[in-house]
Amino acid sequence: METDSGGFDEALARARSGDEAGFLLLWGALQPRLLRYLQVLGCDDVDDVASETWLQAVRDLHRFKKGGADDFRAWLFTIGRHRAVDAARSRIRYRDKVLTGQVVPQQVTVGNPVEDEVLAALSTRHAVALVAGLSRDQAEVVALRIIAGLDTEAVARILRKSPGAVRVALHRGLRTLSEDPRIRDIEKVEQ
Amino acid sequence: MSTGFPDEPGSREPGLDHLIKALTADGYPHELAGRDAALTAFRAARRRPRWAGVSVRRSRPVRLSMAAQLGVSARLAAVAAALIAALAGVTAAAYAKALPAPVQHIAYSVFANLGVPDNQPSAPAPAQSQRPTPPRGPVSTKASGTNHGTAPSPSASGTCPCPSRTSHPVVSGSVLTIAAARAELPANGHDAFSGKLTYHGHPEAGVRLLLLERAAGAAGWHAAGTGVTGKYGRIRIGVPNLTENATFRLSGQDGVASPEISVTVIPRVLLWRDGAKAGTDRLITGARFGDPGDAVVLQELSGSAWQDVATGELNASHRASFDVPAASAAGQYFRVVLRGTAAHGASVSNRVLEPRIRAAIGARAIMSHRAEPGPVTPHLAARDRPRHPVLPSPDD
Repeated sequence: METDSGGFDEALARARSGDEAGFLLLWGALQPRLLRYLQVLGCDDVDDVASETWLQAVRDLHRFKKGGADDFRAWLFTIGRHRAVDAARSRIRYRDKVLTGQVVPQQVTVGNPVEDEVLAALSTRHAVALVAGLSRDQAEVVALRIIAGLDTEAVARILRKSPGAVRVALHRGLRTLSEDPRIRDIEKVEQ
Repeated sequence: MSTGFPDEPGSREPGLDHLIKALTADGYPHELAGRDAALTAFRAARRRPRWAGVSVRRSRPVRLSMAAQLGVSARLAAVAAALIAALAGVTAAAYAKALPAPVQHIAYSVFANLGVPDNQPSAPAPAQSQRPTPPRGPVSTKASGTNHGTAPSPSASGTCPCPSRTSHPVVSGSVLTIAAARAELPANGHDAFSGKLTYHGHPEAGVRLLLLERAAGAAGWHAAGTGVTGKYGRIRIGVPNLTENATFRLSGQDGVASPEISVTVIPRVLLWRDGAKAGTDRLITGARFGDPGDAVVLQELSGSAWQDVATGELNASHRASFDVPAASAAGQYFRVVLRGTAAHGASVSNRVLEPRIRAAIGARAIMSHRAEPGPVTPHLAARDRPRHPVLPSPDD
């Protein structure tokens, strides 16, 4: 897997030195993926958890000396995962919120071509909801591997699994997704 | 600029390709809406000194490392470590105000800048407004979310170690407000508290805050909830099952604290008739979230005004009973007032119509209760002697 991350590395270095423009480049590239990853995890306060993730990241940015883009992404999503777990525990403890799963909204547009309907339904939000519908392990592996863009070894470290287990979970997760009727409709349209 | 993401795992299935493209699409405007808040957090992190929020325990290895760099001998380093450990212990004790008063004052004079509290009350700073003490009892305090005054610190016997900005705010310029969704709520009800954290007028996003609660009559604070400020610096935390008056405030790790806000719970009071004996009707009142010994007043509707008829106290079963002469009370409305205490606000029961003419006027049936109430001693209110005598319950 090739990583074209020269500009990202430069932005990371600038952010570490306190450059706001560099930080904004990092944030703009990673924030959407972080939000989608947290949605897959089932956070119902995604914005708050993402904010807390970035807060910790910027506080500890001067300590991040591991490497380049890949390591920074793995580091950031690890923080996000921890904060999501904390948020879930807090909700359970204080019972002020109820953890709910993502629900794929049904879109029925009578009169439109099937292709338009299916493609419109498969927006990013719905794609995230489809991934969230997988089993917990598979959903997180697919999210970290595809949404976060981490390699297998990094995903294995975060989830404390073996790389082989990550590959199996990814394979099964993608296979489950490919068997989803909405995905199959797209395939029919494409053919 | 490259996004830094590697090539996505490819798929030969068109549907999966669409899915992966959707998952890895560029950020949408709503996903990038928190840009300003993120930038604010980045600036705040750069402004903050790096030792802020670092626990005392972390100071030892850092200082030892510095000593090693200076080439100090191992014995000297050990002595320095012992001194630092002792200093850290004293500092921790000073934070908890666990030192004797003179020592605490010395520690305050040395470590005041680190937030160590003084054991002697200090005059409020001129620039900070003093928040009036919320009244206790049945009067509800209307909390203001815009009161930027200084919150009183928890008492020495408090259970919460959270710092307070009463004397020495670690981060000046931070303002934390709090407001309650309901200043009065039914007992065992839920309330929600919202706040906003700003730093020199700019919202602070992504900051974890604690909602601290001090129950009525309690000396210490305990955590009632936690949350993280959103992109506009706002936070909202719910508190379920409030059964007694309480005071709340928000607190952050950098010493910022909101003013206190009090909420009053109103117990539900029920009044019902429980049979008649020897020309008297027995009225029983119950308040599940009232406390034994709380005063209850039986009132009778006279014209358009309610007049006190008798007083009593809730027993261990949270009930009190009144015996009313049936003949003179026929056709009269009664109710019970539970007087407010430090633990709850005042509350009024439902009306009860004496049953003699209830059927004639078509009033709703009054639910009777078979359970025997505990012993109570209702007595006549001296100032409001009723027009007809109220007899104490035979089993009193």
